[in-house]
Amino acid sequence: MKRVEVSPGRYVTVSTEMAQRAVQAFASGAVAAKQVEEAAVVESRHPTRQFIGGAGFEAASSPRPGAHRR
Amino acid sequence: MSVLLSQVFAAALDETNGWLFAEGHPFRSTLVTGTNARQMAMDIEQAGDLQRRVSWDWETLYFRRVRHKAAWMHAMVRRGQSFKARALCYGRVEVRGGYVSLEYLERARHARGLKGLTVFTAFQFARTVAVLLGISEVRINDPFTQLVSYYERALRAHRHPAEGPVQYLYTRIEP
Repeated sequence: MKRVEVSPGRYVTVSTEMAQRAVQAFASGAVAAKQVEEAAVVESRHPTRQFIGGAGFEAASSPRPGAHRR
Repeated sequence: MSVLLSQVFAAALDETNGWLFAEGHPFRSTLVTGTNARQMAMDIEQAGDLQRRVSWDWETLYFRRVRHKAAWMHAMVRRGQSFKARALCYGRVEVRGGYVSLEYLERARHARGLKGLTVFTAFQFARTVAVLLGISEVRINDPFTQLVSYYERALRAHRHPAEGPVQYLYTRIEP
């Protein structure tokens, strides 16, 4: 069993089997450092901080002062 | 949230943080909870930030769409004792539809050190969740238009629909 801190002071116990499967799952899609560097360059070319998500949630929430749609 | 999902999110988080540490990045991921959702949202939204292009309300998003649902919200914070959110991501698990979806992802204005990391961290987390649940598709919902071609290449993602405005990108996970 493995005890994982998922947020400050909050822990979840993960079974050994689940932890091992997670290692394999993560490794099967491993990201190379070069990819991260490349992504940083691409992000710099397109200066946005909102990477994913559209207007759907905006309609359900109250706009913050000074904010406008993407 | 079910015990299984709690374990899956915890295991995915642990691996994500292991990877960030091993690669020498000074950040880690933590799950947003009911007790810190407001503060995390305020860290990202920063009232008066005129460069912010959206009016997403992360706190409401957490309480409406994450808490008690098959969904997660994770924050990226600096390693150590800091819990100031530098990026927030909301994703959900659609078991019947057979996919895990990244719905919203935003980086804070001051978190330039996260450039390049934000998307990969969110994607790897979602992908790990999908694999652990035996789900074979990860979707990136409503991606920022100018980054679509990059996502297609870097994440081997495909457009949906194949032509016209992109609703979402998807990647298939080989069994």
